[in-house]
Amino acid sequence: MNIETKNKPKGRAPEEWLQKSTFNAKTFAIVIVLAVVLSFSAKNVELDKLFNMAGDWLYGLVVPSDEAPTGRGISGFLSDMFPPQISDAQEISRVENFDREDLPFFSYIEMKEVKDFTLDPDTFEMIETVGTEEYLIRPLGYLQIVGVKMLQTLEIGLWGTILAILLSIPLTFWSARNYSPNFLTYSSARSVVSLFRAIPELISALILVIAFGFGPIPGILALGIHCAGFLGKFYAEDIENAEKGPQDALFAIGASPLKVLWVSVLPQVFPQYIAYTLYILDRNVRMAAVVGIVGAGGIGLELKGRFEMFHYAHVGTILLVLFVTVLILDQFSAGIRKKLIA
Amino acid sequence: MLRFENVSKTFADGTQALKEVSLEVPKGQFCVLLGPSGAGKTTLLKMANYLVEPSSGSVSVNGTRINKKNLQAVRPSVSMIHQHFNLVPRLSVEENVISGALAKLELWRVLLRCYPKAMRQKAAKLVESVGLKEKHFERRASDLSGGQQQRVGIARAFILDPLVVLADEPVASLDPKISWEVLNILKNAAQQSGTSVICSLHQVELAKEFADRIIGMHDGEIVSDCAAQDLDAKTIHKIYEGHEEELQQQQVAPKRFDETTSINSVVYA
Repeated sequence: MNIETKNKPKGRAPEEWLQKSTFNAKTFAIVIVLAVVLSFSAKNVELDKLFNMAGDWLYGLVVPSDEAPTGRGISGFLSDMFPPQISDAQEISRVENFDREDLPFFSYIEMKEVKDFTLDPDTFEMIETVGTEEYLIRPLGYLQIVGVKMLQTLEIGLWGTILAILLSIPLTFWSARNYSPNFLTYSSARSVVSLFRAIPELISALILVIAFGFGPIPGILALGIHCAGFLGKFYAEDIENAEKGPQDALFAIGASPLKVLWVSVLPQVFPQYIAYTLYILDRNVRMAAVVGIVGAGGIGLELKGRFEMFHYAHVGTILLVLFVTVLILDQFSAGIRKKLIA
Repeated sequence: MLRFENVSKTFADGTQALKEVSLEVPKGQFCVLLGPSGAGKTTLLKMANYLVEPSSGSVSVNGTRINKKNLQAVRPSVSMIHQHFNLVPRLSVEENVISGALAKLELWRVLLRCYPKAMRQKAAKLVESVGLKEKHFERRASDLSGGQQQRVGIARAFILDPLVVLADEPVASLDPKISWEVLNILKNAAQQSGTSVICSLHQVELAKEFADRIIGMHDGEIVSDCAAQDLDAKTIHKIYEGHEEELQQQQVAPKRFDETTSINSVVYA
């Protein structure tokens, strides 16, 4: 028997097998259309102005002149920011229950000249009067204030993440197509996940501040709800994409879906889950500072207040502390990942 | 022990994978399904635990006819070994073996990964009996070689003392020497526990070596049914008619040939 000829495949000649090339006239047409649309949009969002101003600023850096307002804005802010405000001075007359014999730890009293302007009722001229006022100086006082508020921000971020994980557990189970009990649970869980993700935390924080008042509660709720949307989506998609073979093997011997999910899927997706969760923790700490601006606890309100009073040195301290916190958190999460994902 | 009565399967796209197949596998028999790809071997196997639902006909295990209602109760007594092993990669060998008993474990034990001591010891015994060492026991399944993974797959299949073990091309992704070892282990395990094995293979030589009985399948039908020693060239020709190229690609067990040479076309030579 001649096997070679018998099983020779019939069909087109190999020269005709070639597929269309990856790029063709259609590709270029799409690129051109996109470029035109984007150029209109760029005009809309004043990108031309951005280029002009940035150009002026860069030119101003090379050739010093007074013409560039952008440069003045930025360098003004930067020069006011440094050195950052570390110490804190408080008028003694405003300190509650002040006891001269028992000063707070690491602080001292200083006399300062205080200039005051008053209106002379006779001449209607401003008169400068110079008096002295006693101040309680704490050399690390402001850093301490920022540190305490930053700790609260960190805690808001942490609890926001914990709330997000708790909320996302049922959402994940119901919105993973292959494990959702039925279509109704699947589609409703999917909608809830999308809805959570669609509400920006700054907006929900604004509303929650009305409901719960100033403080960390609206911050935690706003972050938790928003991030439950993210985690629910990511967790569920990983479950859907997990390798099917090991799951089928366990279904084949009669294991229930929950057991299969726990024993076969979870170990597979675990490294990704850790990565997502640590990312959410990282962003929540940063976002906790932002939602604080609308009164949801932590460092945000302090930042906003100082910024509006042009206390850029204080703003500098806050930004530095925030930066250091995020840096430490990053090291911490790298350590956790290394330990858990081996 | 396992009985198929006039089972047929037509898939949604219209392909008829099985046509009126009847087959009975008695207790303790090592039964090999032999045939080219597309012959319906896997479909028939997967009907035994209802992974594939028959379009018509019925399947019974130990006298119980399987239907959707008693499926969860029947499945633990029919375990399965897979071509691609299908172990959970990041779990230890121990947990992979125990995962074969999930259906019988309480939910809280599964959630807390707190398995009964007797079951853990049984898993260890099984792991030893498939030829793995203590050092492998705590290792992750993904750190093992293909042959070792399939050994774990066999141990997993036997943890609940099943009545029937289905083996779907258990050695298709292993090299000839390892294939021989793995089938040997499977056969020994089955003999010791008196379990019926129904195993699809496409290597004629391996089938002859290990089977008590060889069922030849072609285009969704059983074309031959004989004891292993009665399989002759004429029957093989009948099974592989129109698929002779698959026969040519087969590699053979190293027991009879030097393992470094892979010899083609043993049967037709």
